[in-house]
Amino acid sequence: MQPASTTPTTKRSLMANLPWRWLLNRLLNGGLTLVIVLSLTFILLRLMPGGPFDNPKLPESVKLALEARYHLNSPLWEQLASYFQGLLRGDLGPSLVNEGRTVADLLKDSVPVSLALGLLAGVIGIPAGVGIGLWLGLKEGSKNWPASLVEGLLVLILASPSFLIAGGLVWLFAVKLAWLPVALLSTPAHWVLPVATLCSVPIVSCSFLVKKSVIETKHQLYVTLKYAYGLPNKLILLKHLLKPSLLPLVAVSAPLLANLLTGSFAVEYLFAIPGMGKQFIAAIINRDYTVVLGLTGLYALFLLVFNLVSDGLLVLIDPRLKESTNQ
Amino acid sequence: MQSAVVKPKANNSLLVSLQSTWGTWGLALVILGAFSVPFLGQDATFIHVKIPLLAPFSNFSFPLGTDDLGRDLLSRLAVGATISLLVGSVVGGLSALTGLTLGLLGGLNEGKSIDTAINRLIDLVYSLPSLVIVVLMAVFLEPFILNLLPTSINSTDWIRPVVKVAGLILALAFFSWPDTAKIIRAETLRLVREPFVEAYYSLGGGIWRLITKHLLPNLSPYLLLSLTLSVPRAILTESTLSFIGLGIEAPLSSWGTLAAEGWYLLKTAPHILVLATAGILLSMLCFHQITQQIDRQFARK
Repeated sequence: MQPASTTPTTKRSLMANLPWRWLLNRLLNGGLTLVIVLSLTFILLRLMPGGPFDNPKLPESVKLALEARYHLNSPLWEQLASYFQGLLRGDLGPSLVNEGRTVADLLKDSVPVSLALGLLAGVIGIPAGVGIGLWLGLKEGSKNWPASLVEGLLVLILASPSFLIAGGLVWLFAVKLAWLPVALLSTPAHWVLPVATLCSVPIVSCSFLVKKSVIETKHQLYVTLKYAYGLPNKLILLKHLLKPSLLPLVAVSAPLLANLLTGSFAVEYLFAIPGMGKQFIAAIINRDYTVVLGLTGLYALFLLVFNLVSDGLLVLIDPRLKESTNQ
Repeated sequence: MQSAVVKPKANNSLLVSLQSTWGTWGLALVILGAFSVPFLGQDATFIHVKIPLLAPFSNFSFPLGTDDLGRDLLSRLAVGATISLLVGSVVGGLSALTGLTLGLLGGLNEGKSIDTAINRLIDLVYSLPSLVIVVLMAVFLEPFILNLLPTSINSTDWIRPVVKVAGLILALAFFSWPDTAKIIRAETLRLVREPFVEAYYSLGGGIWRLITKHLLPNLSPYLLLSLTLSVPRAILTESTLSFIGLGIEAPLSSWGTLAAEGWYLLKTAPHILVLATAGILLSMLCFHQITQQIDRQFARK
């Protein structure tokens, strides 16, 4: 599509350059994935033994009445169809176990907590990781003991499961030093240890990524040339050393952020945080079908949105990637 | 016909260089620990009621002491090594096998519908929230497999924990094979463009011999690399799930369940958490070291 006027209008050409077809394709694919995830989860849940009303104290007639009330005894495909019908109206259905509460209600309690926790960890962790990676990359090759120490520490964190990091932090800051509280999220101080635990993932992966990229770049002729020009060090660092790492960084931060939001099971469990992970586990154990479905769908949606945004950024940065990111 | 291995020394020198890293030897130590279970002289599940929370190094029969129920900690640690390595290696093996088959299938049929189908499947698996689905599958697969088995096996009491582990392994493998398939497909695409493959075809060679004699030797370092990534990830995920209480269940114990126990006893017996996580940490560090060695070897080529 050529702009009619010859005057260069950057805004217009950006609009024209935006990969609309690519976006439409991805959105359709994403919607299809969501339908597949929800249907699979629905069928998996129903094939599981046990039900939401399995209670030895409950008389058989009451159980049957409850099942009839939530249409659990109609054919499976009918239930699935009515679930999707509800979903199109934005209705996630009632919770089967929590009397009188809807799934949307329950999600409103837990989702903001997990979201805030994950985003906070990402916002702190990714820049910190980039900074550490830049520093490590510049120090690479010279015998610098703080750099080696930090690198050893990073490898150690990389090798630890999150409950070990949490355990170490709790042991040091809550048990030994008694500086910080451990469980729940009542005051800002309560947020420090869970966020620190979650932060470790982006810090480690971003710093290794940036370090690798900086080492590859720093001996390139054009960088040496910039130094020879006498450009200020800061400018070289930001503009020429960090820039090549932007592409892999964007590519890696989408799954990273999605994992921070969805993969905080262990952290939520450890610190007794009333987030999505905790709710999900409870819902599976109680066979609260609609809540499990709602949470699974939301997790899948997060992953899809983050992947879409990061792939979109990648395509904007480097349009050649349109082919490879179009599933 | 000339040997078609593009870099003839590559595999050999890779193995030699792996022998010289401490990662390999550390891993060997963990494997040795896993196989030492029958020789430790203690039953990991036996509860010595009179001696709970025995301190380490205080009793010769219980070198590392006992847990809160009075079970020997050393043998529980060794059982944990067995379970963790079993889960890791079977998941790694399954994903290597699936990834190799589908990667080759896709790479040799580039652009055809089967390649597209495999790529779609990989994209689908990548867009699933893995931990959530693993939890769901781990809960679901156990009764599912139990239903498939004949009742004669079904009713024995050792079958439940075994099936639980099997369900966990299948769930983990489901999310692990796409990485391998992607690596193998990309490498196959590169290899089939090499002149030796063209020469092989022009001499009238068949596809099966091409795969077994010429592609597999060139793919093997990449398969090894993908194993060193998938095995530790499986071990880590298993231990996290077991820690939360959704993975390995009693009477079996893994490092994750042991760590969960240690977490509750953090104030009274911190050494339980330390020992359980030391096992995980040691194997993770060894795998990291091995991966780095292979990476370095690739960079040298």
